[in-house]
Amino acid sequence: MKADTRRLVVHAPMIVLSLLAVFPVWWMVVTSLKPENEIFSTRLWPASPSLENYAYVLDAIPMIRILWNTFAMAAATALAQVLTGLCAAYALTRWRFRGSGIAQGLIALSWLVPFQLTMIPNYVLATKLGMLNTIAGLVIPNAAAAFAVLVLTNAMRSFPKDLIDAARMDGAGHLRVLCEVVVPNLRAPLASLGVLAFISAWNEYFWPLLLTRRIEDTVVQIGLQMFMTQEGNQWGAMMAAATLASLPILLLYLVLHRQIIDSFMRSGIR
Amino acid sequence: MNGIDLSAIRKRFGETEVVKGLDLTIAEGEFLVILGPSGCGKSTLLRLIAGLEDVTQGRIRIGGRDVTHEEPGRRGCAMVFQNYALYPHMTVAGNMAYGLKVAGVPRRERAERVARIAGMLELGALLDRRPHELSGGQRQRVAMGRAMIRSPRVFLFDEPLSNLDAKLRAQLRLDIKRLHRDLGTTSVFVTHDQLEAMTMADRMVVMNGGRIEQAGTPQEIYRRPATRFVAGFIGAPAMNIFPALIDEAGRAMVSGGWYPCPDAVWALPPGTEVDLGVRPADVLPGAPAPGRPAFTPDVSEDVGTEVHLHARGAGLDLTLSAPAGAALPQNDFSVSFPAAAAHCFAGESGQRAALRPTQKPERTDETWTATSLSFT
Ligand SMILES: Nc1ncnc2c1ncn2[C@@H]1O[C@H](COP(=O)(O)OP(=O)(O)OP(=O)(O)O)[C@@H](O)[C@H]1O
Ligand SMILES: [Mg+2]
Repeated sequence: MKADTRRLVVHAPMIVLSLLAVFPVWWMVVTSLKPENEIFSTRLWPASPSLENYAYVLDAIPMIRILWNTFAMAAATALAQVLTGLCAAYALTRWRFRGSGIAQGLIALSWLVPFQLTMIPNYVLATKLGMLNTIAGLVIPNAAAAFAVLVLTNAMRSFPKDLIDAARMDGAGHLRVLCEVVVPNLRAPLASLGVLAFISAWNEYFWPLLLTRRIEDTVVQIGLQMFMTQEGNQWGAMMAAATLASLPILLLYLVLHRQIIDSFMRSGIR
Repeated sequence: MNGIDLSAIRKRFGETEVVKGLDLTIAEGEFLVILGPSGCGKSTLLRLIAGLEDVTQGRIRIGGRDVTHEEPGRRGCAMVFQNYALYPHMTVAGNMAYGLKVAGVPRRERAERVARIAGMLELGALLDRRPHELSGGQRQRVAMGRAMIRSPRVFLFDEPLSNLDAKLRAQLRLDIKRLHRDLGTTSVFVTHDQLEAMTMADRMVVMNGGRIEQAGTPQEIYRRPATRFVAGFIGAPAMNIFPALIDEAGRAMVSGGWYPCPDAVWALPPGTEVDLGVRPADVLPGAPAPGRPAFTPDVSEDVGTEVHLHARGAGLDLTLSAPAGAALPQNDFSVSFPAAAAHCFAGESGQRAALRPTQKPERTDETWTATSLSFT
């Protein structure tokens, strides 16, 4: 009886919070299924659900193409951030070189530099390099992230040093040590970092807004904006597009949620 | 030609110098044990030989070839780590074969060599397990296998047995000795356990504070410690050391005009402050006499093969050991010892002092040797 009450007390707030978090998502999906005339009704399920908003979205903008752009951009960004972070972390923790402390400090400092400060120079540079309207232009300025370096430097710090020494004795060079000894034992932090980087790249808005001019070269966050018009917002279409935009993230989470939770709970191996 | 030659090795980590100019030659096929207190730079020295750390100064030659700036994998050394350092994501077979894989040995040959080494180490049944599914002793054997598989020119061991319980340690000690007998590979073995050092070593190096205090066979080091540090460090129970003063005749006088070893005349100027040492087994108890301090028995420890008696007198602590069953003093007793059993260390550095040449030479006859050999 007592345990039950305790459980209720602990769980009730969590249930309320979960409902609060889930409701907007639910509302998005419900709205996307509502036909035009029902759009402002407050029912929790449309009277006559239809997919007409989805059909409209796919017709009005090259949605598949845009989703693919976004996916390619986010995947490339995440991969690049993990790779650069890993190399930097390995160098910072394993090599003793003059100025390594300063290098690490500068990397940490660069995390604090606001995007607005680098936006214009980066834009000018990207234009000069002919990267307008390209995925490369979206990825390259974000290919190295201070956050990734810091997280992986931490993970590398707690990585057993003897393991790397053993591999070096076995004749492995640095690249081999990194690929065959470090990475397999650092899967959890690498995966969680990759997922975080993917999600934040997927949600990127400003940089693609600056860099992409053509609808078929853009990413979903910009695509959504197409349904906010001068004549008012097309709520049904926008919600359908938003639902489509969040599906890949949702899928990613469903596939990896065990690893993600795992790696947030503990870091490093053992 | 697989000896190791270290000349004038120095290693600095930032401001602190950890290895302070060290020369050492290790003969081919020798089993050299490096012994020293914690933090004296043993592991650092081993890692310098392995190439895992760069020397600040000096040269390292292995098999006559200068390897000072070689990568660790190309020096022909294999290392066994204290905490095994097995790759957690690989099976036992994978762990053992990794070095061969890196070296580009074809899969079939790798499997053959793994099987052969596994046979030697009785690991055959464990080849498909992961390290976390093994006991400590098994892990250490896998680590040995990993070291052996590339037929290295030199084995480096960094306290490989210190994480194991006493029985397993004794067992693996024998295994390692046997392997060394069969393979004849030059080996450097680091430990801070003197029993391990004395039993395994062909030759032993005692280190302290980044320097070599003494190098020699276990017997040489036990019988003729070169410095005060070695005298106190080697032997259990530890050597008795009394502060003393050299008198006009060259004899050592402990405070209060006591001459515990009147026969020994040291080649030192009068007035030199020295430390006079004697192994517990060499102490001769006698009846109390005037002019000699009386020692009072305090606690005795029976370790089975012998008994240690701790006694106190004249502000000095004394340990005396005797074979089990021998009569030990029950009441106050006096102490003396023969010149051959006396050790004298002088000066800041605590260098061993010699007996004066007029003195008859130090005895090394059988009876005395037999008692001095017993240590636990
Ligand atoms: N990478 C390093 N950076 C700075 N100082 C170090 C480093 N490695 C070792 N030291 C220092 O060098 C000294 C010797 O260390 P080392 O590991 O060689 O000692 P050891 O004799 O093996 O001791 P133990 O018996 O405890 O293993 C220690 O004072 C240690 O703090
Ligand atoms: Mg050590």
